[in-house]
Amino acid sequence: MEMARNCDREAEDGGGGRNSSIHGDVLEEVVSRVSALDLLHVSRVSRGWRTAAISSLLCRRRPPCLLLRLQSRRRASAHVYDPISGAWRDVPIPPEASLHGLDAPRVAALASSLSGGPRFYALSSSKLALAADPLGTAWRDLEPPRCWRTDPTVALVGTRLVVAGGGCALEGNAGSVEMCDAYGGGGGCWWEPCEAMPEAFRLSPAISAAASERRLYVVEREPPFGASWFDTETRLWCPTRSLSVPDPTARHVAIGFSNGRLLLAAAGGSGMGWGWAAESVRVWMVEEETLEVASEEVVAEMPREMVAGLAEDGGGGWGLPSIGFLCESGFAYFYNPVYLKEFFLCEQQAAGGSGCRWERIAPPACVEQRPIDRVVLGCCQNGRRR
Amino acid sequence: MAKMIKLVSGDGAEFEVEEEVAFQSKIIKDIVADADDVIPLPTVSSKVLIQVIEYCRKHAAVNSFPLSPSSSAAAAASSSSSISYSKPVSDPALRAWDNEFVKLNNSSLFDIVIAANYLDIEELVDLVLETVADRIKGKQAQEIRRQFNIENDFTPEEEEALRRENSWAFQNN
Repeated sequence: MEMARNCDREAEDGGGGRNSSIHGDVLEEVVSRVSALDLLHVSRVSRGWRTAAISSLLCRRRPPCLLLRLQSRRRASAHVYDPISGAWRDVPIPPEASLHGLDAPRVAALASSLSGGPRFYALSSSKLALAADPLGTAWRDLEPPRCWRTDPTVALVGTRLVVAGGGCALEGNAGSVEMCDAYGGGGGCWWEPCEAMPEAFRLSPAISAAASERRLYVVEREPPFGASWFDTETRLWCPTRSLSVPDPTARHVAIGFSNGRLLLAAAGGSGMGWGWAAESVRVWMVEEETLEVASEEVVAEMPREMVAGLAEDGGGGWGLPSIGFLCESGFAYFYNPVYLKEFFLCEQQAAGGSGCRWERIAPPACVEQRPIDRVVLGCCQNGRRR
Repeated sequence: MAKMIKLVSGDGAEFEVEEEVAFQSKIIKDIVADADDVIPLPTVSSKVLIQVIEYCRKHAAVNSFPLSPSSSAAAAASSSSSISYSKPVSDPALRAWDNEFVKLNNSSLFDIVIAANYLDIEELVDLVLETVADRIKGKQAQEIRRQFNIENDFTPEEEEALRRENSWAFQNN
């Protein structure tokens, strides 16, 4: 690191009257080490600090935004939370006739390895559409897969769209996997049948998925936490194994990719059966090839009071039925998918820092105002076009 | 018998230090290779030089007897790294010492980082910058101003506009 070596201040001892505040190159270097979550405050300190904050923002990787869609039969709305400004923004989306009405395709989130790519898709028996941008302000129609299914696992693995499992009317199609090149030329999307999902996943009530450039990873959200990956080159699944979650009290898990690492979030707690209550949320790394969990290093741990907030269910008694986990670029958003009250943002500090930084984020007002609408969530680092 | 190097501060005070202590500074290491053992440092005051020497003395002792292969590997890796974040000091005792060392006011830290940069003592530069960044963490603008004794040079109208602005103009996409 090179800073200006000329020092225009006299070397004198202590004393008042001298401008002792951090400025110039030193200020820039300090600001570059300040978390993105503090930059807004830094920018309000003084003009010099604002300049330093803005130039730091231009040089660094942005934290991922949280994308929220409220879907109902008649309309949808879209909202983005930007950690840097610490605020939600409503994004106008054109009323897309084909996505509304009784036969409306269901809009849901997909796992994606494409940074800046779509995070949502819409699927019905006769229609498949892929969002043209992360939030889904426009859509691209594709040929629907050959097997009709409900709530499949959908992922963009590189440029290949993989649709796996889901509820199939025809028993013979259970666990069926199809793949197509979503960005191939010619506008066509030719679906290739691939090896079906392993048995363990066909009856799973809930699956968490993550995508790398080449593979789709799936994990059962509940014990025994069966896990496997699907390789889009070989079109084969690896042998299923149960993830050995380092917390023996873990009840719910979810996976995601962040900075090229496969991460596992697990909610642990105490109590049995309906009496189980979440007490901890921790994140570990998972080895991509072997699906070994790196138990020696806890990547992140949610503060206790936040876990209580996450499990807050308004007295319904269900606590935390599953764990919402969206991660990208060294940040992660946690939420309760059933009782959505708050989001919890975790920033993994750079090496030399003192562990993770956690913040609470209130959802946009519309979520509470429209309790019947379905909330669909994604997260995406906003790529800046230069 | 340790070879001694003489450092002369901006206000003329002389400090004799062991070679390995002085060599924590890459600049000094280069100068001594060619020339004298008396090195004038006109831009560094005695007060700051004493503090820097104290840091170098502590780190020289640790660097000559690395605790584990991983700590020396980390040191080797960092010198060729272009990433601006500090590498973790792997020895917890040394980290604790560093944390005590930087319990200084901001203007002293500023002086030290200027000197450490001039002398090219990378670890000390990183340590101070990280410490200062840590003092900013989680604070609102007014608290930051108090902490660093900074004058608010925004006009009231500008401040009001900033408060209303909840996302910067160039973030609109």
